Amino acid sequence: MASSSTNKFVLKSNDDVSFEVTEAVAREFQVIAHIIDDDCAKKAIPLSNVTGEILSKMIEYGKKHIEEAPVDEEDEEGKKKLQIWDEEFMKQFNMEIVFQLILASNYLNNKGLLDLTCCTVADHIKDMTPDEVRTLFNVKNDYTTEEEEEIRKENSWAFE
Amino acid sequence: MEGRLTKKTMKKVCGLWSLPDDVILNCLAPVSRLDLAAVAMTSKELRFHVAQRGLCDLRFQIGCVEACLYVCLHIVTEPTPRWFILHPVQRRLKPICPHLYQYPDSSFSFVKMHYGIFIIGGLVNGKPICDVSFFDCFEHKWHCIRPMKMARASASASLIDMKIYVFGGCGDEADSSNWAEVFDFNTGTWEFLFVPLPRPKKIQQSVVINNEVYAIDEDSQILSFSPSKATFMSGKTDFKAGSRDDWCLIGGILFCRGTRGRILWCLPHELDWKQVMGLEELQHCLPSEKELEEVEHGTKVDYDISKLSRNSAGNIVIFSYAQRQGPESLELWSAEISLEHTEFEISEGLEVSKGVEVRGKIEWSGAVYKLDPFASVKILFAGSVDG
Repeated sequence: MASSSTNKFVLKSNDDVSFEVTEAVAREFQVIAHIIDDDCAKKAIPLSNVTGEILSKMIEYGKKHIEEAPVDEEDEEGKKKLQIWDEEFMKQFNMEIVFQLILASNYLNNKGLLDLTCCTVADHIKDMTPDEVRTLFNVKNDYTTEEEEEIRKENSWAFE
Repeated sequence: MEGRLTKKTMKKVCGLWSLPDDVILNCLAPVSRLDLAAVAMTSKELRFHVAQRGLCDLRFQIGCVEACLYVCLHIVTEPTPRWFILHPVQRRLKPICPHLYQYPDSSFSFVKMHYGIFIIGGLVNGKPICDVSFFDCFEHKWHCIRPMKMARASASASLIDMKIYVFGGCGDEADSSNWAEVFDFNTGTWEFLFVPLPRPKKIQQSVVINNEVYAIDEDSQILSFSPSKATFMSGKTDFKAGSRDDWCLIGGILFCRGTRGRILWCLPHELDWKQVMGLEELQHCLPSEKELEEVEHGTKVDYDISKLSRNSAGNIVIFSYAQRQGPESLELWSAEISLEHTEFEISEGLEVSKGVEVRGKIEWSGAVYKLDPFASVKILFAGSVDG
């Protein structure tokens, strides 16, 4: 029987880009792990909600987390190394890509990447004014003047 | 051609709104309270997400809660007490928008739980009330809770196993059948609890130790109450003067506010109150005896530590009044003190015994609120709540 490090699967993005990955990397994504377990993974696994660009980044993340996985719970050094890699990994993306990574990791169910990408959004918000948050998220101010006054009063402890 | 198509798809899915609601909450959960306030101000939908109970629950679940210090001040020139939050960056007390709520004027009891504070009984226009409310420290909103069966003021309240035990505070009307009542979170109801004699005579201070209420009454009698037995057991008598204020338990050690800028500690069942060392600086911060005398002849300002409480980090937070810039200015001053507990050996002749010392270190101190020098102020509550 082939081990999960030699057994290969092909993941196919919605724009027809194919990636050959080891079973261990494929299993980093819960949804794919279920497909494998259900024995439905004979051919290429089509992923209708993920573009090739995003999928390649997700595979890069998955590979790294397989290769450099901390030895055990107490392997603080290993954890720290991976954490530093995670931070560097996220630095290359703009917000648009971060949101696509969030969606894709939610869809393929990789909790580690979902948490990492969500934390990136949270980090971006740090010390921003409401106007800056609006620009970041492309959100329109839909408060009336009265409503805005009320909400400003409610949150005045933070700003005055 | 292919590249253009991809771009179009990207545009369609990008942005926060492309995310499912639970994932939006995942993004907001690690955001600080200050930044969440900015997020809430951006748009109605984002405010909806910030104000969701689920967000606060998720913060607890993933350990992203932030401890904020809340203070309730009664400034006598104002009709009702006001609540404040200590701004985590500016380190100043900021008033919280009051909303419509009838606060007790004073003498309320409180119990902290998760992200809020239960305010129990108290006095309104000098009369005890049955009212109970919950101050949600995450949303800064007040919620009415089912009132107690008896009106109570200066009662003792303790939270044990999802139940609030309230003792006394109902004057001469009380007997064994109605002296105590219990709020059960599972049923949302108050029920009287029959407590036979001996009962404490007006509980002055209490803490919860190992699921038992440990209290001192006005006769300096220590009593402990076990919910499973529903009785009070008498313990030692604590005659040390000046050890009856603001009890708090940190790491199994009982602390209280002493006089002259001192903080005292003891092991609960030993009651051998000693001074927390290393805080001489604190006594220098507070005015000297001479200055105090001068003050006594002039404006009546209490210069001692006025309130002692603990924060979530297990540090002591104290409040005091300071007149640093002349008699015209009065400020509420605060300090955060971390604690270290050391054991050492004492040798007397051939006998070697163990001594324990608790040392404090001032982590931060400064003025937190400007007060009117001519209006007297009372700190009704100070404590940190997670949210």
